[in-house]
Amino acid sequence: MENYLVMEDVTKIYNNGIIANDKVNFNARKGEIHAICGENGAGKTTLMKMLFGIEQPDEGKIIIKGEEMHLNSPTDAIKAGIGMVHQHFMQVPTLTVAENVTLGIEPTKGLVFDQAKAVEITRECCEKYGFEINPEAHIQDLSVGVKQKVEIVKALVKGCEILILDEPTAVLTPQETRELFLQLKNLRDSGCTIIFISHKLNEVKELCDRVTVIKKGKTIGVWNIKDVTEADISRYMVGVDVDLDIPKKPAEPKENVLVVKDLTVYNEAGKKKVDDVSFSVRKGEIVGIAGVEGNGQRELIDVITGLAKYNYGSITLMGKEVKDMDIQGLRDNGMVHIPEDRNLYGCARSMSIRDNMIADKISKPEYNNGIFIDEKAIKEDTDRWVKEYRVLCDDGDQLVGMLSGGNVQKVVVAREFTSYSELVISDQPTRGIDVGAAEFVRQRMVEMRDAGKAILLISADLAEIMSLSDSLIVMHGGKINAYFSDVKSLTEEDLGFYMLGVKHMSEEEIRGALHE
Amino acid sequence: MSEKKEKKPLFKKLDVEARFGLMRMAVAIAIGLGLAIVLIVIGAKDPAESLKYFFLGPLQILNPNVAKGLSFNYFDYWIQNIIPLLFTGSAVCIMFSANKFNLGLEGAIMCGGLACGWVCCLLDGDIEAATANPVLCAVCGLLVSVIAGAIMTTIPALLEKKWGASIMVSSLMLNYISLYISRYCLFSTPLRDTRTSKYSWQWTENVVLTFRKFLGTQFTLRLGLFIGIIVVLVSWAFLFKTRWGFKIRQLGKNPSFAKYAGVGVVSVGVLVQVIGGMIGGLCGATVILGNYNYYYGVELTGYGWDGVTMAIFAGNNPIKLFLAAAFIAYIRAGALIMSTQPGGPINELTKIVEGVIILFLLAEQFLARTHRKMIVEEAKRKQALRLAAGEEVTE
Amino acid sequence: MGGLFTEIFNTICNVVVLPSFYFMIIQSAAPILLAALACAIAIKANAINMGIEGIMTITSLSCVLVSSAIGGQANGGPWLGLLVAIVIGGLLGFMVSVFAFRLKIDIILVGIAMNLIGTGFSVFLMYMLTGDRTTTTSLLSGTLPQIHIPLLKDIPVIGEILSGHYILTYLAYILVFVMSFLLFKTKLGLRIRAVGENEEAAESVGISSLHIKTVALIISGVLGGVAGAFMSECYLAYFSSGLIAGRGFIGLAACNMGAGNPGVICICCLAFGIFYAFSNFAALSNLSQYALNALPYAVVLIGVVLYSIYTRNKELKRLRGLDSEEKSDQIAG
Repeated sequence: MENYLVMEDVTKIYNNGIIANDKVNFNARKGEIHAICGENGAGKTTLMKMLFGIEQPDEGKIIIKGEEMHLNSPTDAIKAGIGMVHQHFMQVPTLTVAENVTLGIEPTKGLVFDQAKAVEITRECCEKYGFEINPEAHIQDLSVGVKQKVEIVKALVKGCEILILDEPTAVLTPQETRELFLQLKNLRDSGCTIIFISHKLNEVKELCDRVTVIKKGKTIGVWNIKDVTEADISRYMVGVDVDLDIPKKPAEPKENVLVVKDLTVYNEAGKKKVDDVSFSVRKGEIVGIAGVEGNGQRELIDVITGLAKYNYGSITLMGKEVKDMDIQGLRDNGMVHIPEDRNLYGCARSMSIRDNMIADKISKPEYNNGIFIDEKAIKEDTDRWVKEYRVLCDDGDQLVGMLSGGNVQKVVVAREFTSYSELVISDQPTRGIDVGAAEFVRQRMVEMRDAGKAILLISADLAEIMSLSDSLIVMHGGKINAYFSDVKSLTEEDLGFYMLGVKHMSEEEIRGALHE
Repeated sequence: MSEKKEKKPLFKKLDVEARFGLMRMAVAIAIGLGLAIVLIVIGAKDPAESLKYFFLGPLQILNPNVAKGLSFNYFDYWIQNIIPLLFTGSAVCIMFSANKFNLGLEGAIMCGGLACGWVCCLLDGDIEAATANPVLCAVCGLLVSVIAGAIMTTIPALLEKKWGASIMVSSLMLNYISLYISRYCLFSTPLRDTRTSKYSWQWTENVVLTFRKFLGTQFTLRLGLFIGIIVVLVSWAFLFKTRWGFKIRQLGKNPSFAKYAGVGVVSVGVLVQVIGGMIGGLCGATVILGNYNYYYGVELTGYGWDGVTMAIFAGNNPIKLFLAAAFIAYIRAGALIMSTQPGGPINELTKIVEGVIILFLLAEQFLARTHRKMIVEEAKRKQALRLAAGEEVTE
Repeated sequence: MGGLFTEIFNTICNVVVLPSFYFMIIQSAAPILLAALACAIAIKANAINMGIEGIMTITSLSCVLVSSAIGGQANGGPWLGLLVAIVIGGLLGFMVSVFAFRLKIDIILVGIAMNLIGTGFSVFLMYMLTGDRTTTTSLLSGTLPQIHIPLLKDIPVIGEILSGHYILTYLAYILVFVMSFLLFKTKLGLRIRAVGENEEAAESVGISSLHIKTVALIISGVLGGVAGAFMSECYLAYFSSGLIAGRGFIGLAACNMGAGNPGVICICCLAFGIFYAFSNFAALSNLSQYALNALPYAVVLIGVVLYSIYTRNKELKRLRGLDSEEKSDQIAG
């Protein structure tokens, strides 16, 4: 059935003025698996949030089976037959599978929750769609793969005909992924429409019937999967509109500052997130790390900056092993860090600009007179930094929470760049800030490089990473997939292939990242 | 920005948050006092007379004893009430600044008083004639109380750090344990004065006299008040003027940010509770030394809970404790004086008033609409200013 | 030291043979159990009802006042008192939820304010109505009946221990089962637990967490009302200013120790009762009564710590279990 689900000219503008979706068109047939592909921040998640009633579109229509729908809450969406499997499972760990599945539509006998009925409903649904789940098991005892099945059953039990899966394979092992695909195909054959959001093009190619590509909040096009190759999809998704023109001289790298060797990191649940990674960052160069989000960059940066611990491999900063250093120790040895989440790690919103700028150097002798802090010195320096870093504010005593995102980021950058530094970890330094502020931050990073600092840049913005980096590492599946000692010769298309795992470099080429 | 500054009334000079904070506090206090008036009118035989004593009592002008030249002193009630509030307020301000809900202050006060009493008895009790040096007594008592108090709040802190036991629950239980330790010491150990049934051995009266200087018949100079003022000032300086205080506030405002910036999150978290207990112990000792020459602690003082009230009033800034303590102590003293008059309602009504004021001070949604309006106006005003200054608005 | 141990041993021997000792355990644990159950339903919805102490104070006074107003024992006053205590308790629970979830105040601070208001208001009201600052002994409010269970009461020893308690004592223990049933067998209980553990998950299937938390706190208040009535119509026949004496807080601790599970909570309360009764009985011996009085609180404190260690180990084990599973999966893959 054509036009089973239609989203027509849907536009969403967030309160901060970002246009997440700009007249996006999307349609799905009954009984197909339809992939939505796009870079981070392309607007896939926003589109799906609107379909599931979490956000409401500012313009455009959502039409299901020819009827226009107004979905004001997930409850409305569930009623309209839409189910969603979120990346973070919406489950209550101590309850059983049956209880989780029937939560919200609990079968009752009088006042009593009918446990037997709930189990029966769950079992029936599982059997119907071929899921092997014990309805009486507790969620907390299940593996991630089974939890995800529970999440799907949860949607199916509520009579869902359109199932949205938001990067479902990100948390699964290869076996679990294979099993999931079989079940999704079964579901499709029984008439369910599945919307599959993923970065993994081989999976899209294997599983889906059609693919819609979204870039920068706009629909690029819809193709039958048979008609396109992985390389085609990658080309449609990745692509830089404007070349950022950042004036910079060729880098003159000197000795190593940060050396990461054979590093392997497991996350809390014991899943391997960084897999035998080796590279180094030298004085006077910017090393970029590119990669689709969730390929180990987060965990890698967390251990380098001391926010998490590692067990296998080694990291040395200025020749010293950092394993047993606390964050203060790392900072004393010259590590500064612009964190990805500036509101969580980068600042205290209810403290003043002054306090935020001085937070990491408050114990330094130059800001202390004996036991007291030297307010005059702090005021002088922070006032100077506010001017130097062009923070738009009333004065240094204003709370950081009152500033716009770009200015908050300038405060963070000012704090980090004015500390003693040898190594700068710059994690998504321009995410979500206005063009002027972004340009300013980038310019500063180049200046730092020219002053002989080693800079490690992580960014989801390809234009940024390609124009700023002197050399580039690409991560895929927790491993380094490619290393380019010269970024100028690299094309976007090629970078896309490496990021999405279409192409791989040889061991030897990758080893070059270590600069031995 | 142009150097030329607008002329604005003082109130307008504050930023919008501070202005809203002041306004909300004024409304909350008005509601509280309004409630007090209603309760007095309901509860008093002669409302007008009672209200007069409630509002003016602590100022001494209504004191019949003044004319008679007796030492019964209304003004002193007020001062007496202020003293523990200064201590406990400081302690809780420091602990809450790091976001630690340690409610063990009550126990710290109890044990501080007990330790102080014990030391004084050791130095001077048990003998009919007062021989010990009162200054030595007082200094030793205060020192020991600091240690005892610190122990009482450190235990829950360590239990949480080591095993994750709820700090709130364990500190509550420790309060009762310290109460019974105190009773035990008072009744079943040599601390007990075998001649009386209630108190410990007496120590030299000179200690109390050191702490209390009578200035004529009307005014009493209390050393406790000065110690309290010093504690508040030191706490304020510690919290806002030193690097450690900075780290504590940083931890309380955003623990992730504190960790990221290199603060030892766990050790700072424990440190604040040790400090809180130290001040609590000091409070217990000061109250004992300033009023009695024997130890008498058989009931919980309730001062620990007062500390929470104080910290909320002061918004975790010790310097504001002076006003907060003066205000709360004033209504308490007023209520006490009122209740001693024939037909006056009971002074406990201040607790209701305090509770209600706390609720309205804290309620985020209370006056939210006004808050929003103030922010919008401020934003518009600033934008207009910037436009006028010809500055580029990039946001 | 040896003498002390002998003394303790002798006291224990003397006490454990007395049926009245066991009677007292059951009775002294009852109000704490009621308070703990009140906290339990709140904590299952992820709300700490610290105001339980204040709720108990206000309700225990109000049932005395109502009871004496309609003529006390003879006119069935205590029953009406109980009813009023329940209604007022529910209202106060609702108030806590309004301040905590609608006006968005930290729920612990709401509790502290509630306790302040509770103590203040009850003493104010008592003084206004009776002219007495400390107790309401001048009012004849009466007590709820004691139940002598037929047949059981005639059995020696066991009859002495189990029969003859106040009706609310029995109710407290019955409520353990009712609460278990409510939390683990009913739709409401399921929703309360879901909201308490993962609010987002509950909201995503259309359950209003605000609504569920409010209901949980109202039930919590009602139970607090019963606990209050117990104190002034069973434990004593009047209200006094220090009547509750931290029983609400102990209930909170017991609830914390039992992680909100009624069965475990009941055991915790009985453990408290054992040491409480022991400290009372041992007062007759040469042991210090005051040291003994601290014992129940120390037991609760130790219990809380042990329970934390236990849950922490369990959680670690669970994580490790998952860990090894994942790794073997990877090896297999």
